[in-house]
Amino acid sequence: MHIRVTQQSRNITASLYGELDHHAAAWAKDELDRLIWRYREADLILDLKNLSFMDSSGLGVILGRYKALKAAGRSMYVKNPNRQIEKVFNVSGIYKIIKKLK
Amino acid sequence: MENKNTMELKLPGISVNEGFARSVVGAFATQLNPTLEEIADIKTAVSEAVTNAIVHAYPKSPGEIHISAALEGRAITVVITDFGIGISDILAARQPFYSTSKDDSRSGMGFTVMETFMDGVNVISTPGKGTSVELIKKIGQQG
Repeated sequence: MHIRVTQQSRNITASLYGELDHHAAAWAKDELDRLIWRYREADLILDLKNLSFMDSSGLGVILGRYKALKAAGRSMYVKNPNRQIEKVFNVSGIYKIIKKLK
Repeated sequence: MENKNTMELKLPGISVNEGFARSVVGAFATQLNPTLEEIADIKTAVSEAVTNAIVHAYPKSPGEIHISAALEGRAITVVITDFGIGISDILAARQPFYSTSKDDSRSGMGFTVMETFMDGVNVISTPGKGTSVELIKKIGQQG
């Protein structure tokens, strides 16, 4: 998988490409952590439009980054999950804590 | 339609094989003419079971993982077997958000995802001998 980053005024968008499973999780975690600490004030938007697959290992990566951001008083949002990823999100109840942008 | 077919796959339990394993089982399942959502359900559940075997079964060095699948009628049964340390408390392992891992990126949702995405999940484990996870999906249930 790979990640492309774009910066807006108050937030950064990380667009995820490929498949986020356990194999990709360690790399994705490190990349997102790097982003979080490089842009120290910004909220993080994860654009999942080009993420074709995610399982509970990917969910763990997202929840872990959410916790780090929240501890720093920052927010995380997700947008454009495909049907498979939406189903994993719904099973986990993640939308109780992370907002989905239209 | 009368279907009866089987396949077997043996892999070393290394993470690069997760994507391969779920793709193979997903491709095999297409013989039942499933919807895209049904294929995605099967691939997701297989990914969870294979990942569990890789992450938990072999803490010291990667061991072998066997995957078998059978098509019969309108159902696919997939069995993921490892020969690792086993699960001492299966009921606890199946609880949502339960994880023995210290890594904060493990969600503990693997079995919950399998149970939600499949029609049947059966686990047999013997400490010190290994674990078998059986996943059953009936195709054509979603209308």
